[in-house]
Amino acid sequence: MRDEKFLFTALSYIMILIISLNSIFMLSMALGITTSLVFFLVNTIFLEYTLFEEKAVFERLILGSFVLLWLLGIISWAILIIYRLDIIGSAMALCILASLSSTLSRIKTRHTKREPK
Amino acid sequence: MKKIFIFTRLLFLILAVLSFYLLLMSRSGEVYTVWQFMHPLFVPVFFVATALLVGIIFSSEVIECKLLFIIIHSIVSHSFFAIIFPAGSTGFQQSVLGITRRIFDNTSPHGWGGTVENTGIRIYNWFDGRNFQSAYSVSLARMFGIDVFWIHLLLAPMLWGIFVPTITFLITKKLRGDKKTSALTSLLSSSFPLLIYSGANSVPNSLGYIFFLGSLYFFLKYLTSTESKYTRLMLISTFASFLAHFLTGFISLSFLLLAFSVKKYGKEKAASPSSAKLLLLSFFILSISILPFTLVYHRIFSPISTRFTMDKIYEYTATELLGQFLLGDYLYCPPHIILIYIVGPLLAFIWVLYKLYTTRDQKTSITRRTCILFFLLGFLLLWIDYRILKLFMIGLPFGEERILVFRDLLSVPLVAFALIGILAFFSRMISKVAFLKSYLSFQTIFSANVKRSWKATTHFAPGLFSVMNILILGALACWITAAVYHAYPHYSSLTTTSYELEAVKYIDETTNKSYIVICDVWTSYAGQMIVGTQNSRAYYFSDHDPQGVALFIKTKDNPTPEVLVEAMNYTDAEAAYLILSKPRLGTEEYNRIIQQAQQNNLQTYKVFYYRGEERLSVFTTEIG
Repeated sequence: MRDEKFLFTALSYIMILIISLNSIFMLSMALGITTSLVFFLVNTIFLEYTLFEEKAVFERLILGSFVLLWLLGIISWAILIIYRLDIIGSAMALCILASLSSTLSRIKTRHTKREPK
Repeated sequence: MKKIFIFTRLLFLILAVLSFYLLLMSRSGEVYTVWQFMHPLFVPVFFVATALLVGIIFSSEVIECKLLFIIIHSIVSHSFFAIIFPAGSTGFQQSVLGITRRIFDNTSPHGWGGTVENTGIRIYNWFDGRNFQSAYSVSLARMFGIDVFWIHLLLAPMLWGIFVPTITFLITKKLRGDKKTSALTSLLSSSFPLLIYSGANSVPNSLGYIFFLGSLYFFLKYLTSTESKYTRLMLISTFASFLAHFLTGFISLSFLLLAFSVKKYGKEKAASPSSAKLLLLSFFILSISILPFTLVYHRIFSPISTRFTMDKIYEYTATELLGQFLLGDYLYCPPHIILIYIVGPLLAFIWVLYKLYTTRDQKTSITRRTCILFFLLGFLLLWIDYRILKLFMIGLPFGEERILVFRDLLSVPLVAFALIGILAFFSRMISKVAFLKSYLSFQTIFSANVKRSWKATTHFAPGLFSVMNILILGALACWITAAVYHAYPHYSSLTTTSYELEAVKYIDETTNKSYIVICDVWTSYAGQMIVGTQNSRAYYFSDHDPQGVALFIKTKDNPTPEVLVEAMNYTDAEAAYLILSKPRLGTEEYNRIIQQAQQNNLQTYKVFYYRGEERLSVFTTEIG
């Protein structure tokens, strides 16, 4: 499970790298949409697992993606105010988002393991 | 049965794709309203698709499929402006894209107004909803590799189309609605004209409404759950609403206080009923007062003159005052428009009162009753705030009608419950009539016990039920289609045209030095969308800049190189352009100015044509 999480976090970071390279060099819409969707999916799964585990699958997906949307907005806005939202700024926002989702998911797993059965 | 589902799924998808295609076919370069060049087949196809969707909702199709179809339907309903108009709806939406463009081009660091010297104003500017929306549009544009123009235009329709139906679905489930009721709620989010219009406009307020709805779900979770995570989620969602728009932020804050007080009331009413009621009342008054007082003190940061007044009251006659108090601005609308706008909220309000009354002695449904009480207080809060803003305040920075969007968002789940209640009532009536006719009692698709009842099917009742089901499908589809039809304006000025956009792009592509453009407000919007708002390299006057208006009038009266040079001095530009649009000026005026400009040795830069006719001219002059 832990390895899987690491794998998905790594996948998230790879997607950010591809997104950044795409917005610098290629500007391909197909590549951008594909990588972004993978990024959204991985992090939505992390968030829905962390926050809404008790719900039905599609409800979790709705709420997970909604929370991901908030976080993307709030983090991007904060980066815009503190620094600027250029390609580096956008990549930073995505990295923070991916790290936050992954960390929350890890904390949740740790708590679940500690809880007495 | 499976084959029927596959057929209906396919049929709906075909109709949805056809609706989308017909919308695309209706796209025009020179258009006043979305209905002007709307394909004649669109409304019938949309109606049939909606009726089919209602049928799917009441069938035993899997819920995921129903929600997916509702999302598709909702996206189509909210995309008219983005698809039909060349540059979306005219006005503030275009200015927001201008700001987004500046941030996307990295020419506005720290957001819009983020570099002003006054620290207080700078901090105030950080929380401007345009910065929050721009952050979304820019991030998504970089992620998807799509120009920020399209991301911005489609941002609100897409997010609204996806999240408003799904969150209303979750809210209905939270209120203990079954899957069919919850799915019906999702679809009914498209039956409120104000919601359609808000979702179609890509402005910060629309984003704020989406976040407000998310907050509403977490308020309900907070009311019914003991888990602390919902308190945190409720606070974050309120903050997101606030970042998106101050109006949605403060209304969310009012609802947050209401949620706290309702929960406290629920805990304390058994021990001390009178103090619990007093606490609830105090918090309710506090919640009501947040918005009006915030608007009054908003003037500390912004040059607005919002204040309380009794002047409006004195202006109305007693009858008008009563009409304004009950119906607001709908007072002056034809009856069918009033009906379309208020039937949903009215049904919702009646249902809330009815439910509070019928569950007054029930001990088993305390959590549901708490939620209903919260909804009732929310309704009253919005109703009172709207009346305060409408009748006792002037100089508001927005139209009071925006409050009604919150009312509609609150109404959506309750309307579904009300409708299901009405349908159940009619089912019971038909069953009773059937029984009286010596037939066995029998229920419809709305009944929980379908299998048993179908065994008791007779010849009389099925006929009545079939008629009733067809009527329901037709009535709901009519309601939703009518709401969409009336949501988009039927009268409007000419929106930003394709050749205005082309002219702006052409100037920017062919000018490698700084320039300023004198033009009308619509071309100015087009300019802001392409080069950004107040871009010193490529300057377009903003819509509310009196100097820009004065220069344009002066140029129209006397189109000489001197006036253009005067404009160049305004931003120390190296070139100036004058854009004249034929449909906006009128043929006579346009020809007169063109003739005069040519006589005065203004250089014609480019002439633009639309469908073979001359539509727009660009003139220029250069220093030296």
